[in-house]
Amino acid sequence: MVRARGLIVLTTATLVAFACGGTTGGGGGASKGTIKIGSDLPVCTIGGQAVSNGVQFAVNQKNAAGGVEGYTIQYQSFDDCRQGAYSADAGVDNVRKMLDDNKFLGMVGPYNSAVAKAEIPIAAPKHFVMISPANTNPCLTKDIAGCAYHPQDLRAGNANNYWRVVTTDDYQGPAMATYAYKTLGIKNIGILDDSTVFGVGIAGSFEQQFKSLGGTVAKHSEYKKEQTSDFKSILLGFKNAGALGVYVGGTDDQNICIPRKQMKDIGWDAPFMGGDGIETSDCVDQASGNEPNIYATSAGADATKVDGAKQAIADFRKAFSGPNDFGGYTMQAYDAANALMAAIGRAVKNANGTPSREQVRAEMAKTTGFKGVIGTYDFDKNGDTSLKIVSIYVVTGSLSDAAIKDSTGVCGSKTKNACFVWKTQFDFAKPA
Amino acid sequence: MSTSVFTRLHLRDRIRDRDTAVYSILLILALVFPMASIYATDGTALVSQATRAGTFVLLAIGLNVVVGFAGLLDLGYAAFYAIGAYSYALFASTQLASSPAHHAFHLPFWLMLFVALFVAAAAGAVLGFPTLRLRGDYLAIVTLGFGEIVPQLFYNFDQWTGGINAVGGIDQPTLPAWIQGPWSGDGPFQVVRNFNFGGDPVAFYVLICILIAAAIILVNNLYRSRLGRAWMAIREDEVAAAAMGINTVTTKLLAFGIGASFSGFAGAFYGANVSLVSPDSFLFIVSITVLVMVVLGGMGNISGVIIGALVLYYVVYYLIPGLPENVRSLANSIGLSSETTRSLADATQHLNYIIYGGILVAMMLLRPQGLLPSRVREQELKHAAVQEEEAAVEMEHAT
Amino acid sequence: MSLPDFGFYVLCATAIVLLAAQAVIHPGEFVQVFIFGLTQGSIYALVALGYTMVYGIIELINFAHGDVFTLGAYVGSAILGFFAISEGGFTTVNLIALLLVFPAVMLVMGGINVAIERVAYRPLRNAPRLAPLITAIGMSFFLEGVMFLWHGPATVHFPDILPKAATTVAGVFFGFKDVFVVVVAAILVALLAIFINRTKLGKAMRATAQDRDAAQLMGIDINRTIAATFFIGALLAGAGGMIWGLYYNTVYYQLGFRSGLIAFTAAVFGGIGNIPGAALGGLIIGLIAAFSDSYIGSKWTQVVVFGILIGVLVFRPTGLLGMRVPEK
Repeated sequence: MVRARGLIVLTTATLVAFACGGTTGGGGGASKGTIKIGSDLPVCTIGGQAVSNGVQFAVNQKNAAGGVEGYTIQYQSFDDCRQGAYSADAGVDNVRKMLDDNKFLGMVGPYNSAVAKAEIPIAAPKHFVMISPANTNPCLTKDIAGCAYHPQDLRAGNANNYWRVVTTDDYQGPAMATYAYKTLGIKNIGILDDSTVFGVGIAGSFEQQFKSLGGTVAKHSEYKKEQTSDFKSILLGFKNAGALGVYVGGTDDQNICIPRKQMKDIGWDAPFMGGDGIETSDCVDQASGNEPNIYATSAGADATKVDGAKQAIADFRKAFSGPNDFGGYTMQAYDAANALMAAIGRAVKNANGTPSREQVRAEMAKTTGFKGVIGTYDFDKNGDTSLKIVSIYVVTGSLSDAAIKDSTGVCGSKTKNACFVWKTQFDFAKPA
Repeated sequence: MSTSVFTRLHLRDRIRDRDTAVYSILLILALVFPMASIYATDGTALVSQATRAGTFVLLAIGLNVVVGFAGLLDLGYAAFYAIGAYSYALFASTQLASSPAHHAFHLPFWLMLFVALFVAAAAGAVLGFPTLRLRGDYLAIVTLGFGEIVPQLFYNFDQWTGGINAVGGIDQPTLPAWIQGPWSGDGPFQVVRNFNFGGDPVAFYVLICILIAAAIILVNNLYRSRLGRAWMAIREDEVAAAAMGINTVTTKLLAFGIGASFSGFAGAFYGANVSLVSPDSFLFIVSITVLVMVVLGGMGNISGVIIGALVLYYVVYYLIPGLPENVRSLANSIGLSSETTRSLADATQHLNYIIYGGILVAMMLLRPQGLLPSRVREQELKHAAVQEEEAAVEMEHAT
Repeated sequence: MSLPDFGFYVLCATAIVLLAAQAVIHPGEFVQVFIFGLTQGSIYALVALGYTMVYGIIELINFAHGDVFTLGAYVGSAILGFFAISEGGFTTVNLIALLLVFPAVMLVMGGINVAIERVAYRPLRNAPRLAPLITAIGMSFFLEGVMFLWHGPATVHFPDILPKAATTVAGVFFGFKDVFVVVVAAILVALLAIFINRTKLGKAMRATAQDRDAAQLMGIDINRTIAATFFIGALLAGAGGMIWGLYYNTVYYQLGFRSGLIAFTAAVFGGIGNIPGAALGGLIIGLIAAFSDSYIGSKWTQVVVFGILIGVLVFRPTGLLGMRVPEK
């Protein structure tokens, strides 16, 4: 009977754990009460954690300054990683958890466009505000050719509940295409994407612009992280087809920068370009031995090139001192959290008490001229920001210590003197 | 001799009793769970979770036919799941409008549920026909290969399936008008809640419970039928079964097809429930998870498999992802500093794999035959052992 | 010649003709891709040997084997960190470090695998057949968890300590590393073959694989033999991990799950339980992947590899070199 008893104990433990699992979270004591905001990010990755830090920092600052209209903001970070990588399923579960707790009035996130695509249909009918600091897939907000779905379908006819503080791949890709074609003088290129929603999207927009400028695409290949570790055959294909550079659509967590290292292994010296997914220390590490001349775009202004952000970055660095705590989208997350809290504040005022989600959503939709640290945001009716700046960075090796300290771009964690250095920026809001 | 007959009869009774008990408990839980969880948490998140768990129960019941009954190791079960999901998704969304077909289909869910079932079963038969003569684990590798190929094909044919962009905005099931009469909905005569699948997780929950109940009845009957006995014979000894006049290829093919059809069923349901079907949802890890559910629960025993599926679903999708949060709130409530809390939660997050792996190993070591093993098989094994021992004793006496 | 055999030869002939055509049209590219496939295939071969030996002896698909391989690279990278190695060029320290660390990693992995066998598989020797399969999956997650805990989800850098000499011959680019991978793998496979065929323990392994009960009656210590099999399999996996690291210089914790699957496929391809078969299978899978990446398109590689696998098994149910075992 020992066995049977073991089983009972197990079952009981399970039930108890279930009961506990259902009622997590507690309240903090404040004058008017608490309002929760969440985030749904892949915090198992360095990039996701850096974004979460930005939100945490904004919330801490706000609470230290007395909260929002007397309410204390409680921030809960949900993790959409499953087995070490982001998962749309996990994201959906997280959003459901937030929707089921009426104290949640909005969220920052998600980080990955594929997750956003799965989450918006669930959040939209409940008027739950989502502000992404990092989604760049244009299909989420724009009804354009090449998308597999329409943004209004995603929202199932409900009012828009989704905003983002970064611009879209249809600017990131073209910015790099223009830079490669005009500034670097590359007329023939090989394109590699990582088979994710993000990678396919950004590589497509690059290809379109590059061709319209008159460039030739030697070959467009794709791979999957778990299937391919040896990219040499693919790269050789590019090289033999006459490519003079490589554009990659993808993110470092899909090993997108390993091909950079392997370019050296086949004796091919050519520039390597990509979107914001490669502007990370992991990318520099993956390219180990062949770091210089990796070009990357970032879907926002460089925070250090914006005067207003300097103070915020310095304060952030004081609060979060780890080497990987600050990432390319940390300040964007900071702005997103503040925009959300501002909307909640206005809604509190109007409702003269705890507002409903619908009220917060309506206030968020009215946001104009929101002053963040990166710039002043207006949002269009689809949720896109008026700030349409794309910055271009390039990895430079053997930097001096002083140069490393000044640079905003990330450095390798192994090769510490190889960092992304800001080159130039394209502002798509102003006609060129 | 007479004693053995007696124990046999007795055994049958005991099996019936235990299964009846398990099913009654499950039934009661299934009825109480939505009310209790909605009451306790003031939300339907747990009901949605239970629905997802139900999808896995359906998968596990299907895989049990292949692995547990017929003894064929299938490492690519998710492929059939994908086929089921895509056959509903493509014909119940706007997806095909942007494909070379240029026409969107919106076929009703109730029809597609069965179409998906047949499509998946047909895929199982097509794969099984040339390969079922492979013995043992070679078959496992063929299914593994099939499981790798199918999601990749759905990805590669992006003109039709949208590729990585997935099929979204899949139609929700609707009930015929005569069910949605004036007695339902928000009208003055409301008797039942508006049974609307669009926004109501409870509707999906009820549906999956009905599907599972149907599956259980079906599989139980199959198991007791001639076919079920043939499966068992093949599982125990294929050569002997063939010698007894069982057509092994047809029998195995039926197991394969019937097993696949359940995942087609589950796939169509999944498509409607999640409303998003992407090639990434059907990777090898899904096949493995379902297989673990079956073995963990007790191969060949339907009630055991259901328990296994529920337990493992809870561990994989609820207990482990929720651990950091639980640790955080626990640390908070006992008054640790926020810095410690954060690092504790991070540590738990990093331990996820170790915990999951440890649970699997520990559970298998403690109960190698599964949580609720098939009594018949258990008894057969014991019986065989006893007989061997008796034979040995007799031999000794003889000499 | 039976019909399946005929189909098999037609399949092989078609593939060879197509490849030969490529070789004639673009000889440089063909040889280059061949080298890529050969190096990758050599590593798969080393991992596949572990699968095939374990399967041959206890009929277990050892899902944790691929993770043992990856862990080998992690351990190697960690131990190399203790030496004052230079990544810029090849120094004497590099050579000494390499000569010390390579066997050390192999032994460490061998020890770990024996421990895994002791904990997770031996208690289940008489349990239902699928029970050890599940513990193998559990151990796989466990090992991935150890690596995840150790270095997190990001890729881990493996020191680049081999000579960087490289040359171009008739338009084909190859370096010292390529030669190193193939030569070391070949030496290891040869050593294994000698071990299995010439030593007493090797004989015991073959006997146990053929008929465990009979072997036991002949006085072979089954537990020891099985443990030795796991040990040797992991020696090769550890060597594979080291070679992988030295060659590619990046590893990540989930590498083994997938590579393991491919290596297992290679083992089946060659005829499971058959040692030359596993080595051949590994090479062939590596070559197929490289040729498919370059001639067909990388998104079809997965389909091609597994499609060929299914095709081969349909026509030749026991793999390329597998023997037709009479049915019991």
